[in-house]
Amino acid sequence: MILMSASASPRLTCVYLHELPLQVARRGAPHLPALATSDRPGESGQILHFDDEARRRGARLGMRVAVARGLCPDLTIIYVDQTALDLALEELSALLERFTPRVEASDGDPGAFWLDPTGMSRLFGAPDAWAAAIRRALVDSSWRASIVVGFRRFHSHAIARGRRDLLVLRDLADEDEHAAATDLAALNLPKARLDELDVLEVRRLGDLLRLPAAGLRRRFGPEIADLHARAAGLDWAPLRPRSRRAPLITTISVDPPDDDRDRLLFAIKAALDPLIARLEAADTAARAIDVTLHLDHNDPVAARIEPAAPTRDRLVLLDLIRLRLAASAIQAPVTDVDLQIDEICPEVQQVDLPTKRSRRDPAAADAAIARLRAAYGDEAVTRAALRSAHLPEASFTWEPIQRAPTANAPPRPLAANLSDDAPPLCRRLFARPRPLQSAPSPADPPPLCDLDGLARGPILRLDGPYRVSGGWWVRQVERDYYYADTAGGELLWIFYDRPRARWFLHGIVD
Amino acid sequence: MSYAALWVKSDRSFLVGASSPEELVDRAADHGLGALALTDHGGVYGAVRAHIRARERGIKLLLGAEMTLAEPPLPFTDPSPSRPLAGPRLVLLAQDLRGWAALAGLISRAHAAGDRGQHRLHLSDLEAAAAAPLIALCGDPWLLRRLYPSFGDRLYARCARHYLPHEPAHEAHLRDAAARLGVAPVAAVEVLYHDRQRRRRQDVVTAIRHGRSLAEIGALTRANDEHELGSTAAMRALFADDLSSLSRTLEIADRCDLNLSQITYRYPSGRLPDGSSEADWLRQLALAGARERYSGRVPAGVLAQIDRELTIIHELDYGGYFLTMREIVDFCRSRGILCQGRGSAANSIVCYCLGITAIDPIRMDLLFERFLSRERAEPPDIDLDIEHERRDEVIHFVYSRYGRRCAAMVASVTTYRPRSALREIGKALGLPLAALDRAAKRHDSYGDAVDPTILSECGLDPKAPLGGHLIDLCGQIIGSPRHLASHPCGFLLGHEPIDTIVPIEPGARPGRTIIQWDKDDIEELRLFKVDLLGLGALSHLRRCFELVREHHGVDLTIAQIPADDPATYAMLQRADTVGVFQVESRAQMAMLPRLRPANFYDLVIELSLVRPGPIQGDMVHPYLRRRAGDEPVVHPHPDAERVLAKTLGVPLFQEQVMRLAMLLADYSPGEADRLRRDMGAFRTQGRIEEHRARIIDRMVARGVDLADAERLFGQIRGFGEYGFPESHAASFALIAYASAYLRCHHLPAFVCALLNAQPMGFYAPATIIEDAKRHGLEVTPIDVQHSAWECAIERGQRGPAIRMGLSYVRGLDLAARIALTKDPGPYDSLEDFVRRTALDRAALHALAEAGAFRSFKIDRRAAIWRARGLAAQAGDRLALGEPDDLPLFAPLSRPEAVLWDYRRSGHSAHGHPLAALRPALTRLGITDSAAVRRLSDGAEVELIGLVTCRQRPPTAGGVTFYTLEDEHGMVNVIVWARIFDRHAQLARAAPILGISGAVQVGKDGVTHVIAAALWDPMPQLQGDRADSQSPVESNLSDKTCLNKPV
Repeated sequence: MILMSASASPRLTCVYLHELPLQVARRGAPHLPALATSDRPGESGQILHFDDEARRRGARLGMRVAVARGLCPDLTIIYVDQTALDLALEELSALLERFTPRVEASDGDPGAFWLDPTGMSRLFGAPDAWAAAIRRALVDSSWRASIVVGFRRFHSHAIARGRRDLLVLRDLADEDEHAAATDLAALNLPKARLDELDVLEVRRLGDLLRLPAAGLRRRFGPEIADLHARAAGLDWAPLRPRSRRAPLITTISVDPPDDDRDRLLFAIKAALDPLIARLEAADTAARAIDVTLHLDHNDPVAARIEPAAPTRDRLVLLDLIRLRLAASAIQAPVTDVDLQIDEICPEVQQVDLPTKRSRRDPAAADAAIARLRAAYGDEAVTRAALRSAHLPEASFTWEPIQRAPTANAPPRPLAANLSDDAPPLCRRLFARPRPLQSAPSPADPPPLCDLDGLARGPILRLDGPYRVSGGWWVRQVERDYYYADTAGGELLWIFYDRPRARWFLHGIVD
Repeated sequence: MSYAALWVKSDRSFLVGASSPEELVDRAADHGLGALALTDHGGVYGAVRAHIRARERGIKLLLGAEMTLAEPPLPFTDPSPSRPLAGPRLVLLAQDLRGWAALAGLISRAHAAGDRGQHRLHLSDLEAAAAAPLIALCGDPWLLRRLYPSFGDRLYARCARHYLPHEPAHEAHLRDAAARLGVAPVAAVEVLYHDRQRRRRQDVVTAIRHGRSLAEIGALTRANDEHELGSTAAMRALFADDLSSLSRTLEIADRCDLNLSQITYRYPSGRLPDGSSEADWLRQLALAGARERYSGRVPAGVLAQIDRELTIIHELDYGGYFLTMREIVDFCRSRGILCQGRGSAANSIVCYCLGITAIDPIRMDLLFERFLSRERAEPPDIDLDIEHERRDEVIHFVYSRYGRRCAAMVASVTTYRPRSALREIGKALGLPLAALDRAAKRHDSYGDAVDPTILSECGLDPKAPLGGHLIDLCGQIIGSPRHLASHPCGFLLGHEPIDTIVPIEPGARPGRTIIQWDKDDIEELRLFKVDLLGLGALSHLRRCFELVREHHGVDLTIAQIPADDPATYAMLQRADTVGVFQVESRAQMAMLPRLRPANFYDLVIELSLVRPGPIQGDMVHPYLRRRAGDEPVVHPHPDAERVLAKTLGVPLFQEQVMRLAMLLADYSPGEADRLRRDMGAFRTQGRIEEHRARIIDRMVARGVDLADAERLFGQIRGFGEYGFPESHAASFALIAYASAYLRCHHLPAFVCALLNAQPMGFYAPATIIEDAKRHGLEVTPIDVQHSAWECAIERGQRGPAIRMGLSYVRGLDLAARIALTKDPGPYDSLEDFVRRTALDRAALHALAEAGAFRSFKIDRRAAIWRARGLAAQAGDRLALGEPDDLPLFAPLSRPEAVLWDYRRSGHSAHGHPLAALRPALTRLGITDSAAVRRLSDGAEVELIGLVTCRQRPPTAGGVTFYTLEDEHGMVNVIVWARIFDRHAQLARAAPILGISGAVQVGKDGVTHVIAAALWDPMPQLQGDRADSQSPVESNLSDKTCLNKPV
């Protein structure tokens, strides 16, 4: 057993989770036989990591996802996004902090953590026992890691990357010896650099250290020179444990449970003040506020409320919460309210010059949109966007907006010069075309008279047809569109659907 | 009342139209239309095909083009879904030949102003062209007003109707503008296909053109399927409100009177010395050439043949063509560029006397009618082989001699094949690219359909709707045009500017221009094509002659090489022919010991025999048996003897087939040539069958036994799979003999020239070098102190040696070449080298790794270290130094050096990669190639070799032929289909292969190994060479890049 104080140099431990994205994916799918991860979603991504079974089936590093799927159809390829990785790193940091309060997660190498074991011997005993406890805790949570209890940041990290077990180093010399035996290939160097060094028979860190440092920089560039310097122990950086700033979160207990929106709002107002004070202290602003209402014997109701711009204005936030509360259906009395502020450093705006200003106030428009969204939901404010398609209902889409669009000149109509004197036709489309009474053939217009309880009278004249057909690769569409003058004086937009052999009303022309 | 379709685009409007010109003309004829105008987009690509079919169907054809104006920009354009940002489109129709010439010139100018494949038609050019008899159909009110002053009553308002909602308002505006100007409206539909069933194909090609899938393409496709070639009734219904605009289409058709047959093409001439006529000048040149060829004593038979040929040439007015070829040949000679006519031109004594060809057709008894005949009355076809390295010089000479307007390269229309169709249509349908790629790779390049079984095996369900669409659309599109490319060698030359005959547009390569017609089109119109082909063997010979002159003081040319040299034929009989033109392939090497060529004509037969035609026609074995005396020489008819005697009663050449048809089946020379063409159309089924009854009946009537007649016809049909004309074989045999002679008597020069002429031929440089070493030639390694950029001959320890050139170092680019040749060695030191050449770090590393610094007495690893260090200081003005200590690096072992050589230069002067492994291989009981050759028939053997050749010819019934090479030579291996399939992964791509099998020794001494199993030798090799640091396979894999997987 090696005691914590056996060495004069302070200890530093590296915990390294090899192929972290693959481990994250594996934890989500523990029973899949062959698993790989890719660098981006979709078929064009490249394989980043793969397990032994996937290797046996032909998966290789850098292989296109589409190719890998073709090669082994039952291979599961998962793209682990940054959010999932961040969650995993957060979980790992929390786990490791059970063994020491000083844990640093690597910025450049996700999966690498440095731990300071100082003072842990009273709790965990010798370093090997401490490290074994960490390893057990990781295994219990389905993580696999190599752990190197060493002395220096670079050395422990390099050794940990090159092996998959637990290693407690005796002293600096022992650490040097193990580091020297580490393959350069384990250090994530570009293949071209590895090849260039390989021809000189430089394959391990020790081989590299035998070369003169100055010569290396000239010949192989700063990357290899820096590696040499770090391997020679020339760099040192203090451990930077992660920040432990508490999130802006609070819970309001409502006792007795209450569903009165005004009283709830006043309770929220009281709880919001300290959070806003913390925002002011940190010089940040609220980008959004998450409100969760826990209902008595009912599912909670959650809402995310976003102001028009990041703010510390209590009244603005309260007004938006009030609007959302007013619009929410609260099925049961509220027992608790959770408030969490999503904070952000506000952008510093340039001071406006005293020039001629637009009469429009974009900030006011944004604030109005924010209130509308708070009152009616995030999808409440949308705008139409054009899409390239022949089918009328496919030629536009509604997309939600959070800000008022910048005022640009409207596009000039294509055939604006053609009919200067004719007012443009404005068609009001139905969300779904409405079937009309069937007619035996397209030659017979529908006996249009009654629709939605409105008497529209018989059709006096048809103008058309205008044909739209296509979509054969999905579903064949063949429509003959007509403008129909009715006896009631309306101009309707109708079509005959040839595959279905019936008439539909698609819109009304103003 | 009928009508004329005036706005019709075929599939030669690449990726726009969806029906061929023939389909459109046929449909127009079926509908009884008054006329059809083919107006392809941006050109006249389909004009000739439409012209031929219209002539056959008796329908009036108008010709023109749809052009897109470069100006003005939106919003004045008439809406075009496929080109939303382009200017208005205009249909131009040529009224007569003058109009056609103006249109061709206008299109040429528009293409010259645009990017490749695109045109930019400027209004000023259009207005200038309006003086010519051109009719313009304009659908844009603004453009109508602009063009009216230029075109006057030849301008029509094109009222197009496709049941689109914006059309009525647009047409009203157009008609209003037309009425104000007094321009007549004319009815039109933009026809994109002959039948609306083709709408799907049109959608797909549109998606391909835009590089999007159908799901993404949105409104870039047409809104409906109203773009078919409609019947008169349909058009009358469409324009029922204004039938006069429909009848006006016929009025326009009446105003056009153009037939492509009227094109008067004149071959370049007129620059004759002394004012003599073209015929006189050609005669003078031919007779002067004859005197030179026959050393002043021209035989009477030769003179008679010259007279006969010149008479025909004069009658057919082809004199200019021969003079042009003579001019090109003269240019080549003046520049020291080797060239030689090939193909049927070698049947002409005039070509021989003009120096265009090198074979005496009288001595060889070649048939002139194969080249030219009155009945055929079509342009002669002279193919001129030119050194491939210097062909560009000749092409530029042609451009400068005739001018850009009088010379352009012939186009080649690239058509869809199963692989490209699968990939592009599948992508448009949104199918997975990886599955499409797999399926495409498994299809034959030249098939005519996609195989549902293969689709299914690659994960594409042919029964699913998209799979069904894929199969259906591939079936429609295979064989149809995709884009216009440049013909590899054909030039069209004209006395008048050829852009008055056919538009010219920029080619893919800078400085090249191509016409809009392919070789079939210009053949149909009897325009003359000059073929300038690049031939690596000529570059090799020229380089070889230069080396022989430089090192031996012997001034050789092809003509001066001694004929019938016994040593050369002995070498050929031994199949010792690595690097010899045409007879170095595995199949030729296997044939040489069986045929044992002993004179020039044997060599001609040797070249002709190993061809798909003779093999498929079952001519090879009868010929070999008769030659060996195992079978009597019999002729199907006594008259056939004088035709077939020289090939022992077996027809081997196209000329023999023609002569037999003339002798035994009463074919005229022209008919015999038609027979030759029909049997040459190997991708057109059935044409040869039309001759069957005639040939067999007439032969039987002349006393030929029915069985013999049928066998003879079978052999003729066999030529459908490609056979040589005798003249062509003789031309190639001449080069083959020259190359064999040089190999036999000037091996150093031969090898050195061959290495410098790479890439060419059948073998990788490593194989050529190993073969040279086995013949005792010393090959010295790359060394900056001694090597030039190219390989050179130097004095070695045992005589001449090949010094490998710096060009063989992988990783040296053009800048490195310039630096190295600008300041060649010797150099005082490595520092001196780095200072003088100023090469960058990568180049210095490459040279060091290749061992090129060996003369500085420094090992390769140390050289890499030092060179990289010096490279970092190359820009310093002070003396280059080496301030830090040189680390101690392990020197390379010999096997390592060989592997490094292969990695960096694709060969090794130090040895063969397998040589170092031989003791271990021997311990394992692995036989070497020399021992294999000594084994008796049936002996069991195991061997390992580098795969230098891997072939699976379509005529071999699934058999794959390998050539394996070790340090002692090469071994031919035959792998039956079932063995290949069992070891498919290994068999397809392994760079080094282990074979277990049995030796097969033929009667003629040719040894093969019949494989019983294939295996991967790498585990054994790596296990047995623990001393080596580098894996063998990774270093050898590059070498096999020339061995394409089967």
